[in-house]
Amino acid sequence: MVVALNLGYVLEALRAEGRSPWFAASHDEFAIVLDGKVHVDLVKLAEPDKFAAPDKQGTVRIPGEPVGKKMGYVKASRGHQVMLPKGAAYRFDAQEPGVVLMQTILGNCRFRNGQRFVTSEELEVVMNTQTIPSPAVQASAANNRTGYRSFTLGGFQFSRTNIFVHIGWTAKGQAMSHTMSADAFCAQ
Amino acid sequence: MMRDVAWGFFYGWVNFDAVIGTRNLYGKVEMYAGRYHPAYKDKGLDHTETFESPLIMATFKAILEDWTNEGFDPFAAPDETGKGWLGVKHGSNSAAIERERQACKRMPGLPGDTPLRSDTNGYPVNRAFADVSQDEPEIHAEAGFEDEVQGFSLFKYLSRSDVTWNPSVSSVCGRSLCCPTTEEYILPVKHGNDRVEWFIQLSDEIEWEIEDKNTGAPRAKVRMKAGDVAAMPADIRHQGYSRKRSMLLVWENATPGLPEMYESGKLKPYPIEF
Repeated sequence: MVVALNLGYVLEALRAEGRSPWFAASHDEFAIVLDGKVHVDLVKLAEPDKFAAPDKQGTVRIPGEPVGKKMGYVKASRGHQVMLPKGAAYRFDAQEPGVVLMQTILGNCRFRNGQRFVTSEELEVVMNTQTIPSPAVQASAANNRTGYRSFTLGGFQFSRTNIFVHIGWTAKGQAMSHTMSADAFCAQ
Repeated sequence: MMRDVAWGFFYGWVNFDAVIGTRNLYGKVEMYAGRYHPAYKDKGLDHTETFESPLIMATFKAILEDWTNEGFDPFAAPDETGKGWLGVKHGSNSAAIERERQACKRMPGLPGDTPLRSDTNGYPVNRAFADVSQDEPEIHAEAGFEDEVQGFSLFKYLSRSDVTWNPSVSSVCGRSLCCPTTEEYILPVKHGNDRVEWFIQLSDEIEWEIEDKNTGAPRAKVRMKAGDVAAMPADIRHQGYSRKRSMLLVWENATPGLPEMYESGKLKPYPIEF
C-alpha cells in the first residue's frame, strides 16, 4: 500500500506474513522492517531484463520460481534495513505478522485514479552549476573588546558581541539592523 | 548558519527567523532581510541580494569559524553543548563546524560507501537512545555476492547520530532519498520548501508548526507520533519541536528542476489529490 507519493517515487507499507511471491526491479529498492522478523531471500536473475527491463520502473512480480544463482539471505528484525539490489529477485518470509516500509518507484502504472504522474525523466534539468574562483571574504580585524571579527557580504553587514549577532542593511537610505542571539544564529 | 553551510543551502528557503534567511537558487543563493515579513516588506524596508554560491558559502564559513567558540557545537542539542557560545571569543571548534552531511551513494555500509556508525569511529549511542537495540541483521551471502547481499540496523545507525535536525542519506532509489535524522529541542530554522517532502515519524513525537511560505501566516499544527506519516507541501515553511530526542525519516525527491516546476505552477504544491 502506497503511504507516500512524490512524483512517481513511493514509500509503501507491507503487511509481512507468510511467504510472499518473488519480486524484482530494474533499480535498487530498500526495505525497512518496522515490526516483526522478516527473512529476505535473494536470487541473481539469469535474465533480469526479461522481467525488469532497464526502461521499466517499479516492482514487478516474478511468476513461479526465479531462474538464477542464489545470492543468499538476510534475517532482519525491527529497525533493520535491507537492500534489494537491481537485477535480483527477492521474496519475504515472516512467521508472525510484521510491517515493512519499502522505498521504490510506482511501477508501470502512470495513471492512478485518473491522475497522471510526472516521472523523473520528464523533468527538465536546470541546475545552475556556475562557479566563481576563490571568492574573497570581506572581514574586519578582530574587535579589541570581544575578539570577534565583523563581516560584509554585498549590502549586508554581520557583527557579534558577547551575546548577540547584528545583521545590518540599508533600505530607502535608512540603516536597518536586526538582532539575534549568537547561539541561535550559529545553529541556523 | 551551521545548517545552511552543512546542507549547501538545502532545498529552498532556510529562514533564520521571521526576518533573515536564504533561498537556494542552485548555483546562486538569495539572502534576504524582511522580504517575507509584512512589517518590513510593506514599508519597503526589506533587502534582498543574490550571491554566487561559493562567495556566500565562503563568507558563512568564515563567520562560523570566527564566531564558534571552543566547546560549542551548533549541531548538538542545547543539553549537550552548554553555554560555550557566550562571552568574548575563546578558542574555536573547527571539527564541529566542518562536519559534512553524511550522504551515501547507495546505502551506508556498502563497500566504498559511507561507513556505519560505531564506538570505534566516534559514534557512541546517544544518551536518549540507550534502549535502542544494537543488533544488526544476519547476513548470509553466497560466495561472490557479499557486496550485494547487504543490510544494516537503521535504528542503531540513528541511535548513534551525534547531531540534531541534520538529515543524512540512508538509501538512494533513483532520485528518491531517504534522509533520516534525530531531532531534539527546536529546529533552529524555519525551512521553506521548494518541493514536496514527506515525514515519517519513527520514534517518539514531534510537533510541527506550518506556515505559509511567503507570508508566515499560520496554516497548521501537526503532532506526529511514532508511525505517523505527513506530507509537507511545496508552498509552506515549517519548524519542529521535539521534547525528547526522536527519530524522523525525511523523504526527499532530489530531481533537478523541481523548484522551477513548482514555482511556475506546472506542479501543484501538494503531492496528491483525493
